[in-house]
Amino acid sequence: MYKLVLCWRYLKTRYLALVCVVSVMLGVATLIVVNSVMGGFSAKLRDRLHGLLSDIVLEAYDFDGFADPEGKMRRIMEDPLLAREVVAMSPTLEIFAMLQFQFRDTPVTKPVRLVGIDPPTRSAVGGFSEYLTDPARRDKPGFWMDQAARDRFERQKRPEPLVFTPLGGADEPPPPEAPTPTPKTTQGAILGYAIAHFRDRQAKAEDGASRDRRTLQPGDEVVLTTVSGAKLAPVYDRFAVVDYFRSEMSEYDSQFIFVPLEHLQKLRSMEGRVTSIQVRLRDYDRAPAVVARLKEIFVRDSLDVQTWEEKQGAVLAAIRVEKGILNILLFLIIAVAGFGILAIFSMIVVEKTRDIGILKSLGASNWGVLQIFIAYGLLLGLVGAALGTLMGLAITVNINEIEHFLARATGQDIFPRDVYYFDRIPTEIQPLAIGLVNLGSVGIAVLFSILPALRAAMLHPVRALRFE
Amino acid sequence: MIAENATTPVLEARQVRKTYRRGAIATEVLKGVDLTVARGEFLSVVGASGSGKSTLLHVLGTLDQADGGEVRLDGERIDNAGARRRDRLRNQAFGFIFQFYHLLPELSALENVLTPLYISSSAWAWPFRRADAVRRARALLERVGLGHRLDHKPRELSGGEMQRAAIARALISGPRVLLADEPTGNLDEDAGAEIARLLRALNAEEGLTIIMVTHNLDMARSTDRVVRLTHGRVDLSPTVLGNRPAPGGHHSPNDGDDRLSLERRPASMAVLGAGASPPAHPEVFGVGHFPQR
Repeated sequence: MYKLVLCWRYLKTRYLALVCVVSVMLGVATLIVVNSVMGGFSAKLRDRLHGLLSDIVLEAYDFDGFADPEGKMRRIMEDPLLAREVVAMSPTLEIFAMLQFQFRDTPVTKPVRLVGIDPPTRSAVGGFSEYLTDPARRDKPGFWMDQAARDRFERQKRPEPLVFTPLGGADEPPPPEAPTPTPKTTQGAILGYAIAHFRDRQAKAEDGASRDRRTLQPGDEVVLTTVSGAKLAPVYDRFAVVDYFRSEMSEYDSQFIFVPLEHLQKLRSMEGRVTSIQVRLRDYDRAPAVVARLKEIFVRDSLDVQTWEEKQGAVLAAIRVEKGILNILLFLIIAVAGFGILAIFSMIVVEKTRDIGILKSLGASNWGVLQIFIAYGLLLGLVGAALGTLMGLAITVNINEIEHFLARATGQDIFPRDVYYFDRIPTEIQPLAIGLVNLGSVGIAVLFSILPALRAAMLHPVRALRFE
Repeated sequence: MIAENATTPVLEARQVRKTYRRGAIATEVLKGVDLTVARGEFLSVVGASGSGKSTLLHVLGTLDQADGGEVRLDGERIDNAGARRRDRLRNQAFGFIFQFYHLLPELSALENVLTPLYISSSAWAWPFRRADAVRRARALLERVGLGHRLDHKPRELSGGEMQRAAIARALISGPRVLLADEPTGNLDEDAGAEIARLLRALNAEEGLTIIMVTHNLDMARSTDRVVRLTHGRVDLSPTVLGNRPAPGGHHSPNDGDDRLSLERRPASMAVLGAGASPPAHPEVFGVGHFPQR
């Protein structure tokens, strides 16, 4: 009983001990905030890395691709296991290309990755239609042009109408009707958002929010140049911009251009050939089995079968390693707090030497005295961890407001939004991580209080009583 | 309580030895002390600094362990008891009071008095024992004259008040022997006299057995018996000074002082080995009137 009474009294009366509480609290809060933000970043990054990639990709080793994707997809659906697991498939033809367009009368050229897709099946596979900026197109994916785009396109294509000034008398025959220009059917293209926009930093300074300026409007014409699949020769065609693709993954948004699959096949004279088949699974957890089966089926074709995680393996591994190392480093903060507890507890034991003697003269056992100090350490750890958890969660939840405030107060852009294309700092509160952090910090607090507690317990009562 | 034979001494020490070692230097503090304490006796132990008085008290009260000899409480050996039993003895059979009061500064007077019960009770049992314990602690504090200072912290109490709280704490478990280590050594004359009166009264009214180490010869004279320690041995056969007053005939420190001092002076002189001529005033003996530390 006296253990609890004394612990509680010591906690309330030793202000020095509050230093321990604060150091544990700060350590716990830091760990929770860093974990949540790292978790948020990596979840978001995973999301975006997955973004364009379907769960499993069957890929040719070179840009020539492989023939008969329909036949291959049929073979997949004939397999009982795969028929059960595969939800959707979409053939895709991907190739590097060069984009050219006019912006304010200056020609602009950009290297891009040209992807020929079949919009309905590509949307079914996922990671495409949800990233389109035109809400109407999300429901009805395709390369159609809306009225405004069509008007703009036609206005730009149509030459200035000639104005005839009648010469002489009215008897002159009227001039022949000007032939109505019939624009040649131009294919639509969906551009990565960053290809068609740039960030205006001046505008940002004025109204606080960053503003994207558009370099290509829907209906504008662009020229895409790539190589023919049949022979080594450049091919090119004109496309009309119909929409933008914004996955918020800058690597994708600044490089990808989607065009109709069949048109790209025709352009590259490789009808019926694609470079990859995107596959969507019912349950991603069963991906390894599906990959194994696919490899079995296509063992004779030169096809590479990979999950999206394997394709992005290096980046994902880097995130994991980064997080692990950061956690270890940050745990040192709590270790530092632990040494603080050790030092302060040693001081308290010295300060309390006489009281320990008193307790022993009144019949307290060594074990009882040991318990007082271990319980004291536990209590400090618990209070510190609880306060730290609250503080960490409060910071995590309000991190964007805090960032805004700090950015305003210091004039420094702490979280430049164009680096990641995030509007807000992403956070993900992970209960397991919070639990582990709490457990670890309380454990360290107890661990570091054992040594001083042992010293207190081993004190000889008479010598303790005589201590001045 | 253990069934006690009236003739069994409550506490008995036989050839108790204790040696302190500091590095290579060994100091033999107790060189074979014999002491018998009867039930209800108020015994004082006097001696020069370093004569081993406090050590004897600690050994008797199981706060320290003897290197040789025996200590018996109600006829049972306690000097060789295990740690657990010694803890329980200190908690229940002995009550300690010290020169520097040794109250816990974080706790109020009432809580300090309750501490031995805190220690003996588990946290689960405490809620059931609490009301009774608090009642007893209050009664004890009132008995020692601190009924109006229950919630004061030690630093808000005077020295005399702290010592009275310490006495109440020593009594809360109903000890068989009260061990007092210079209880007035740190108090001024008036407060010291108060404490002496209180101990006397407790001895007289409740039949409490008290062993008191003191430097204050006036105070020692007011007890039933004085034992003198010199160089780790009992200097004088206790019977020489042992003129136990008739039951109920206890003396207050002043009452009958002349008679006692007349009776005792020659013996005390021998004990003290101080000068040949009897001092004119008892104060002369009173080297222990002043705080020793």
